[in-house]
Amino acid sequence: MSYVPKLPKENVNVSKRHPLLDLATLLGGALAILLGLYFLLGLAVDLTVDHLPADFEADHLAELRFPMETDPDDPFLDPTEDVLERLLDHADDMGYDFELAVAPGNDINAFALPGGGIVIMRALLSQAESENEVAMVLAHELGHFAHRDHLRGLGRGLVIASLSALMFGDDTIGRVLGSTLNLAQLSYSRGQETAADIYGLQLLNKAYGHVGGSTAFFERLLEKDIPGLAWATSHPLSRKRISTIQAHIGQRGYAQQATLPWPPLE
Amino acid sequence: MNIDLIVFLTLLVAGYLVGSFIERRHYQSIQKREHELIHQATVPSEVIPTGQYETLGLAIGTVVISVDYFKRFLAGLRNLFGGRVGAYETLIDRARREAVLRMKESYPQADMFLHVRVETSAVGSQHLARRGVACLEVCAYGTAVRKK
Repeated sequence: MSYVPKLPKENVNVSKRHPLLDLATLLGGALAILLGLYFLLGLAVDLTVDHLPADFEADHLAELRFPMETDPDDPFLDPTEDVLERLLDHADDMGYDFELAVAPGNDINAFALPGGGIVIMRALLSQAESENEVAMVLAHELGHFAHRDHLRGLGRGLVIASLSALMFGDDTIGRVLGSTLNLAQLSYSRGQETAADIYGLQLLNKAYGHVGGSTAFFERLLEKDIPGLAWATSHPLSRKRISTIQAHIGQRGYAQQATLPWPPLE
Repeated sequence: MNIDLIVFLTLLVAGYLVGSFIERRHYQSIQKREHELIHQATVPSEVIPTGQYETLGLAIGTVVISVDYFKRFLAGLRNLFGGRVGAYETLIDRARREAVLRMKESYPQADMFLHVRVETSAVGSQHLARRGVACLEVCAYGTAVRKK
């Protein structure tokens, strides 16, 4: 019997399963678990926030906000505070002791911070063309406080940060799965912004008797819209916001009258 | 937009396409050379048949290969759930067969390789290892002998 060398017919050491199929099942599983956790913890955040009194927030959570620096001599500070007073006179008491700050910077933006802090960027105030427009922005931020959106945002941000840090650490997989969560978060955030717009519109109507100037701010932002990227932004596109607001004005039959000058005349 | 995500997807797709191409080509080369060198037997036994064979020397074949970005990601995902890491199976298989082929090629005049051993180790710095860069060294060695 002589030895005839032969090679094995098939490779038993390598699985036949296609790597792309492997990727689909593994990625799908990981994302499903993560989104499930995010959904449950997000629900927990919502339930907690609804039962969190405003004074508890002011005592314990106000430290979480970044320092609000404002120039006491800023010419826009006093008139903006007057507008806020006028709105608060017509709003339901939310239990907050509101604090306004005018922040330097070129962003056209405003923020609602834990404990009743409202930061409004100077660029927004200097570019505004009517008092009603500023009132709409402030009323929108008050809407976030009324809906406790600032706490929900904070809570969900914490959920995302701890989920991706706990499960994956700071590696590629964590970043990829984290991006998915961020997209889910952005869609949630767009819903909140629309609700705050509607609240702002109603408050503007109560405080000024009409809703003139309510869309002026968004019309100025319109040129910054990038069509097709709505899913990648925290706020709805300005065009969509304007049409939502106008639809609401039509439904409620709100009046639109001449706007007040900004900054107010002495 | 999320630059991280774009960079990641680009690396993933490029890794998959380039990685599969290189792997296919490597397997073709391995199969061809295994057929060519089939007459050189590799024997794990230590026993040297005295009188009929003369020793040529210690034959060593080593190879260092790395996986592509796509497989690295796939293996990372697999680490979450456990199970067979299919992504690394071809890496080990190619490296082992390539190392044996190189060992054979180092003594073309040999008829047989005795006491053949195959050893595997991970190479690369700790820093790279922590980032999941899988780089593998396989060393195959044996005693090359020839019929007298």
